[in-house]
Amino acid sequence: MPTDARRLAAPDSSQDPKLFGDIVKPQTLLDENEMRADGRYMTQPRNIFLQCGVVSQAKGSAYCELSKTKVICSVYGPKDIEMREEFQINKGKLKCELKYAPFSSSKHREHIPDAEDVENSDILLQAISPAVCLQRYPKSQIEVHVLVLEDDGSVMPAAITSASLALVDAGIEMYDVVTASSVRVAGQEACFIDPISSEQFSRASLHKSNDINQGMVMVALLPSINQVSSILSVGHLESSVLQEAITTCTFSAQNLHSVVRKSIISSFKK
Amino acid sequence: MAKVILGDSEKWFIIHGIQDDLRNDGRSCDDYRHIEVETGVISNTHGSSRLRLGNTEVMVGVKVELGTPDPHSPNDGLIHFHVDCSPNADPSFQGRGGEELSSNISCILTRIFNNKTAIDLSTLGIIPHKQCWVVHVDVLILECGGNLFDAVSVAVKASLHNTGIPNIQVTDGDEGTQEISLPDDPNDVKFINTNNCPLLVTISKAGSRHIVDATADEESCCNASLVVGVTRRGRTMGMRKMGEGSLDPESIPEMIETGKNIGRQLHIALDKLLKVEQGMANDIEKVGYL
Amino acid sequence: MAGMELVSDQGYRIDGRKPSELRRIRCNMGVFTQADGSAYIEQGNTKVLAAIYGPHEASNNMRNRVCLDRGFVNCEFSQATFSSAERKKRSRGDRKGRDISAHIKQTFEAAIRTSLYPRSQIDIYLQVLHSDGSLYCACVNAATLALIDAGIAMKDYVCACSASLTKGSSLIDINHVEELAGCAEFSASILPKLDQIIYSELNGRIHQDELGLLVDAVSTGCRDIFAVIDQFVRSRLAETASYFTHS
Repeated sequence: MPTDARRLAAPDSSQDPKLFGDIVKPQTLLDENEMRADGRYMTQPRNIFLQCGVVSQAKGSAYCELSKTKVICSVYGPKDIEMREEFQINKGKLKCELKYAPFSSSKHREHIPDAEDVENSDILLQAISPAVCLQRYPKSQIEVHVLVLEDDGSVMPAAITSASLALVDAGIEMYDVVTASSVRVAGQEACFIDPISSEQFSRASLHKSNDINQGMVMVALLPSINQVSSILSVGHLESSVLQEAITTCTFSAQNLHSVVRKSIISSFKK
Repeated sequence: MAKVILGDSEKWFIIHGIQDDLRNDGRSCDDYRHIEVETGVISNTHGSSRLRLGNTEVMVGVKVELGTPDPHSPNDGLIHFHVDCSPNADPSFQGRGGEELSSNISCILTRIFNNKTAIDLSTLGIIPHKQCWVVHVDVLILECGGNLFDAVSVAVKASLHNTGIPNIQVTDGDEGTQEISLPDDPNDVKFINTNNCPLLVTISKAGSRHIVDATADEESCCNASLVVGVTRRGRTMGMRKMGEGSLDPESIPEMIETGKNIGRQLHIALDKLLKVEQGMANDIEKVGYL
Repeated sequence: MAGMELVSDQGYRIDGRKPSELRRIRCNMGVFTQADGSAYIEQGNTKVLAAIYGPHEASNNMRNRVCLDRGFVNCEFSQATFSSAERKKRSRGDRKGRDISAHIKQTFEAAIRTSLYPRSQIDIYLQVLHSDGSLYCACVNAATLALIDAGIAMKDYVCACSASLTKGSSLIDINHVEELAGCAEFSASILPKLDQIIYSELNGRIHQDELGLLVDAVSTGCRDIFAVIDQFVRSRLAETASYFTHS
């Protein structure tokens, strides 16, 4: 990976002071009253705030907030293709970039994108591509830039939803909006919709003896035409539990459709 | 040149053939091409393997080094995946051209190994908080003939099976420090347990049917595919949808089922081969590319 | 300088060879199906894969190198991260890799009949699987075989060999341990039938009188390598031709 020559980097071996405090406790997702850490029920998603047209320089933009998770997306284009290899006569090209601000997560993020950032950009591209009518923009490219300002879980669904909203705001022709939702699986009948960062799946927080049916699933959906544009899962899951998680995610993404429509209509009314 | 350029009529021909369960090379939708696997091909690695799946050629080398454990899991070792797309496979991989493909493959490998069952990392810990084994799995892609993900995962499992970690002794040195001593015998190793390692199965959607083990031509016709990590017992360890098309929600459970069944068969075949190879060990001469 | 004995009192090197003995060479052509030409060579423990793409139209980022009257050669050398004893972090684009790429490009621009391929580009890609000294030489030999497999016109075979000087005697085809010993190292690429040196490189310091010794040693080594490679190519050709006659 290329090194960043323009900035003075922090020492490689610096660590978060929290690690020197309490010992890492295994995750307890539900307390005695069947409530989650932030007071929600198991199947209750967070309140979502969506607004279009927040970046004045961009052709289209959108801001999405899922309580503490904040994501902003800008769309530029359609414009001339920069690199000659990507020139296509019959359809346009969609370019996506998903970046985390260095201060967004609990661990400082590097400015230079690493392999995970490249993969996230690719996942975002594959999630919104089916929705865009690229054949209407031959020999052009449309750029989508997503910046995560704060990461409190469910970043990818927020990014996908805001990206599709920004494309609508930019006036790009689309088949449908794309809504997405993620679910934390913690056992046979336990699917926690829209996990926050402390509820997210991480290897370190698992019990050694019992890591079956612990994982995370994310689904991105084109709600009106009922097509799945992206599906991601991590963790050791049985197929019945996986199917159930996918169904829950799809249902949750479908519910998001009405919220997205309302925000588009209100932004055009202004 | 190595790029696949198919005309529209060729693509339709392939898709219509698939609807009738007949692919260009005569396979049915659930058949794999012939796979050749050889382990222990590179001597200065701790484990290695070479795999050929049709036109796809992959080589994996595993090196173990001593390092410091992750502060969140002080008793566990670490495993890192690194993928390099050689320009031998495609001229566009020259310089930094293959970065996107290699990032995707290494991230999906990290994803399917990101749980406690795949590899028991606690066996790789040496001194908690201070020293552990860091396993570097380096994948080298030498030829792309379609179905890279599956080929890479089979080669990775074979090479991890072949990896021998030196049996070290931890003794108390002076001033309360602990010293690590390596054995003199290079064959005094313990092998990694790969019983629960997952394998990737790519199920590509073409029209209304789905195929497994797509060749490069078929991959350019399928605009959506599902890559599923399957264990020997048929459970999933990670999944990702690839491609710029969309999938029908009803067909996803079917694709996952197919992936599971094929994955189970692939595990059985690979385990049988690895057992045979281990049994022959020093008797056979490694062929490599000769 | 060298702390250990490169040549023992009985006249044997560290790996048991005599000073004028080459390592075992095994090779194969046509290893890959998608490349226009490919070859694999093993010189002792040094294993190199070569792939040739071309001649083809110049790719977009190399358009400025197109010549109207001849073709140009593009070479990229990469080393697998597991190829050396210590794991390498960067497989290509580092100083040493770029150096070797440039030298091989220079070598083959002199050997390929580029005037037969105007306005075209010929790509030579080398991948080292296992490195044990004499990387440049193994790469040149592999590339020669791959170019023959691709059917690209050349003036002659290109054979390369390395040699080192210790205590007045020259060691041919040095391995990694002998490279690290710090003696002067001389490599050269030769067109054996035309008996011309098209590339030579000397690392280290030697006396002017010793240069002749090294050049002679390398020439002999190259001729021996030529004999091995030529025999292989001819036998492969005979085998392929027999498929046509036996039908």
